[in-house]
Amino acid sequence: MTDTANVDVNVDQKRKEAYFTASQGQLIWTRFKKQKAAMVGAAVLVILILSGFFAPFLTPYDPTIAGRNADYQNGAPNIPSFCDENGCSWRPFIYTYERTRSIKTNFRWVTEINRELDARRYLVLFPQGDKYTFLGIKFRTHLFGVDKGKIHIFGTDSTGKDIYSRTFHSINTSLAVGTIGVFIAFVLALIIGGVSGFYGGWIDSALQMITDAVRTIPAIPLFMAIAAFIPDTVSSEGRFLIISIILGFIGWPTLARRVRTHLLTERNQEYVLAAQLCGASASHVIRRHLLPSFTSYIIVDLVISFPYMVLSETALSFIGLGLKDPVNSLGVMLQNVTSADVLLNYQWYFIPVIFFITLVLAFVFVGDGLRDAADPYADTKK
Amino acid sequence: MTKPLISVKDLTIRFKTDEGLVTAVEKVSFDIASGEVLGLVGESGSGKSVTAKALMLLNPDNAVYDPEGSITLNIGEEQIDVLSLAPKDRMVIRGGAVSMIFQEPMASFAPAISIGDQMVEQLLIHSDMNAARAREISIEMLARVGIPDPAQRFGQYAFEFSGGMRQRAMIAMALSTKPKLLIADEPTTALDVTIQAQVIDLMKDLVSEFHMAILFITHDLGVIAQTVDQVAVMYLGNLVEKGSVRQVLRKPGHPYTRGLMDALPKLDELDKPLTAIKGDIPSPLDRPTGCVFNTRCPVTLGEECESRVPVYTATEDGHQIACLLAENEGAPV
Amino acid sequence: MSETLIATDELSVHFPLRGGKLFGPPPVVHAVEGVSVHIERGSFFGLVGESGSGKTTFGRALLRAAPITRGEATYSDSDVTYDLPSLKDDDLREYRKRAQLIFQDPYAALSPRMTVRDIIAEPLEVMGLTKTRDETDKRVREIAAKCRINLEHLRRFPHAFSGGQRQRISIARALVSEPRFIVADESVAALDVSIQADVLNLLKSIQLEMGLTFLFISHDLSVVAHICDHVAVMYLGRLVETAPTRELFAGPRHPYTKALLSAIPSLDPDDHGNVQKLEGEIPSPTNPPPGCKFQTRCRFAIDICRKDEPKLSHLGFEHDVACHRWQELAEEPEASVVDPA
Repeated sequence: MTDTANVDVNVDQKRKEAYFTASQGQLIWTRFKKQKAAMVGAAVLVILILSGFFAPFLTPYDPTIAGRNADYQNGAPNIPSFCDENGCSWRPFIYTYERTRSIKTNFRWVTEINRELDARRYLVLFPQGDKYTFLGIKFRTHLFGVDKGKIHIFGTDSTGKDIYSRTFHSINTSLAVGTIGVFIAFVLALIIGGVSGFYGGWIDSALQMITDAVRTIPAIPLFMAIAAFIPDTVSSEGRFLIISIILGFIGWPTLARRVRTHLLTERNQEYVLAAQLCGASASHVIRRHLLPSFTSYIIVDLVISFPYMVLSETALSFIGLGLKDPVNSLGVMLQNVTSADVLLNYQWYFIPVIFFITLVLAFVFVGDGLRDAADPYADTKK
Repeated sequence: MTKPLISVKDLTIRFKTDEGLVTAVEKVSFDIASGEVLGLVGESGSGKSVTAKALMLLNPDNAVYDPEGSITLNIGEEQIDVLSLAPKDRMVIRGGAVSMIFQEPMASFAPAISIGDQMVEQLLIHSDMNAARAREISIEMLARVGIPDPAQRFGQYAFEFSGGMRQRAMIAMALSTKPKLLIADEPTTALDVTIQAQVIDLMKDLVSEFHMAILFITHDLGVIAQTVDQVAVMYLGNLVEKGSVRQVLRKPGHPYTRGLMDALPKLDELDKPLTAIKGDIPSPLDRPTGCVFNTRCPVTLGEECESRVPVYTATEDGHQIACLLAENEGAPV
Repeated sequence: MSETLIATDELSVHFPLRGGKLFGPPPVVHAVEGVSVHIERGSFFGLVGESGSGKTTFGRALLRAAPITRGEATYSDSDVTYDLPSLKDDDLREYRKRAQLIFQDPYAALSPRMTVRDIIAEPLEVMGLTKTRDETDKRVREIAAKCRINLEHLRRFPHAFSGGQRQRISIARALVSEPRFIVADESVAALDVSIQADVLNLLKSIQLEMGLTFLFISHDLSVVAHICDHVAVMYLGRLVETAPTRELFAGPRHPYTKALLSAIPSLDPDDHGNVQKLEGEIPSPTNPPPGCKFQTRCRFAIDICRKDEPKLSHLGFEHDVACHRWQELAEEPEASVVDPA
């Protein structure tokens, strides 16, 4: 019986060697790449972050009052089309909206659509528009615009601000708040959780009590209190910073607990004991063994904390306790959606919600994917 | 000639992994008669655990069973083809006709349910008796395996038992349904040697009392010598030698078996140096072509062993060896 | 004439238990109690016992990885002598260069995030034994070759290796600082039999080549019998018997040693061993029985055994045993069996 039926896939030498010399980071990345949901999430996340970053260029108008279109308030979205009853054209176009008031309309302002061929407004690429500062340099060029008047792809709000522009700028703001908040929480968590986990004993017990106490502070009343304290004289940027810092101060207990758990586990690993038996100092052990060991875990924790920060900021801004106009964040944009008027007539106010959900979901998928990739650590069994 | 209790023929199991289809078990065949104890010996990667789990269809979902292989259970007049059992019928073999005990007793008992409750649950699933009768039988079994104060122990939890006690309790639980076949996967490996001796004695007593067959999986040849009737030696998924325990241990025919015997430190041969089998066990991703052992074999015929998978050569009394040398020269008598 | 490298006198390691009484001293586990041994330079000293015997704790105490509660322990080689319980700072660091540990679990003993080269080099870097990276690399390659590690594999990470290979890396790491004393804690227990023999042969050849002294801790008597010169048997933290290997296996004197030996399953299917199977369980270390710790399972236990803990008696030929009745048992073993009351 001659049998060469090695149905096994022949793993070739180079791939094997690559596997053997791959560091933990590379192994995790390889595992991560295999998860479709996570990769999709990562792609979406990258797109959203870049859109937020390049928002001034990608959007046609200034998101603040300065860029508003006084003639088109609460305006419906202008969707560009290629063809209509007057024929087709290569360039996408929108219609002219005119606001008139006359005796016919009982002297109320009414918006009329002018669908005449010569009233078309054509899309142009790279027009010069509102000024903006990007990375310290002043620009005027935007990605697209119209030859006459303004285009509002997502419509406008009650003061005439372009929702499309606001949405992308707000992604940036929300991400910025989240980043600062996560950063502060992380630094605090590292210090407190780190000391707690590394030293153990009574230091650990004491710090744990403090951590638990802080964790039980309810966020909403705290914010109300602090919001009451922030004087109105503080600039919007200042307010932005304070809110971020508060979020960080409230968020650190959960992270600290995770850091502590990781440290407690890693501290008892045999290879740590091996290093200590050589006389390794505490700093060496921390630097070469403990820190690298939980870097991947902590990255996962950070990515997963991000959406919570964004959610918290959004929720707080939504109820008016967080950021306010003119600072733009998704929460601020949602402040206006609660009236019945909006719900019934101006549904396009909800478009930012889709972006918001997408952003949070993308973070969650990436975080989950990272966690799954990082978890099956190189613990091969006999 | 009565049919064997369980008959495994050409069992081939592969696993779907990220690196491709990996062969864990290849064309393994053996029979176990009622009341017989078969020892499955092998080191890591030998596939012995995968084989055992296959008998109860306990392998994970990425296991692929080659359709040419078969596992047949003969209970009374009934013949059950295990590999083609529908999910709802698998209860018969799991815990009913076939029972399993594991290496880590702590991992087999639910920590928050008392031992007694777990035993009763098992009985209620596999029989018609009521709870009171199940409890009676469970306590009887606990006493039978040598646990003192069984009525009191019945209500205790796994962490309240010592290692040896837990293993006995697991044996009691496995036997309470009076299975025809007990699969013991490394039951004594985690135990101290003095406790191990007790558990081995217990299992031998139970075999004769219950007329049960046992598939005893271990890497410890000493335990095999004292416990089993028949031995099957596995290496990297292949069954390389099969025979009675006296045949295999006294006159090992396969170079791997001989290598194992030589590598074992023996108390009555303190002067003899330990001879290792050269090389390392290949990874399952890297299975050698031809005879699986050829990369480490001290008497390999070189190219011939690399290209041909050996067939079994048998002596008249049933000692089978899968080796080209045995094919050429005949099995040792 | 070999001299003593490690000498302990009534060495004890006690761990306080968490919880317990509200007032008064917390309950204590006597993990190691009153152990006195002499380990000769250049010897392969075996320490055997089952769970709860304290053998691992003893080994770690000798390396100052477990606290020494009481008793004395001295390390003395041709250059220095250290009093182990009181070692501190610089002396402790010096001692660490001379005494190393090989762990049991090859999968947990190597940091998964460091390459093999870095793992082996770590002791050199931490202890400052080399000055340049080149020097370190040279030392690493030397020791890796000695441990039969393929030099091309130095760039790889631990996950690329099997159990036996990882254990060799562990050994290389322990040896790179050129120590004099190695504690091998169950170093082959997690390995397959075929690999075990290989690693044992490696340890033996390294010992002879580098003139090392080994404390070989194991629960496997057969392994110890093959590789060690001298064996000590522990039970529940106490030393019950110690003798040169051949002597111990040819003529054990302590009932526990006898039971331990007879419990090892023989490779001969027809040899069922003499009926010395032990009943009962090992007592819990938190609640040891009074008197001789083995009395609860000993067939020969009499009144004195339940009251007084036996001291080590010297039988001659470096053979010590801690049993009240060792003399009677040596002369007329069966007559001394006490029927359970």
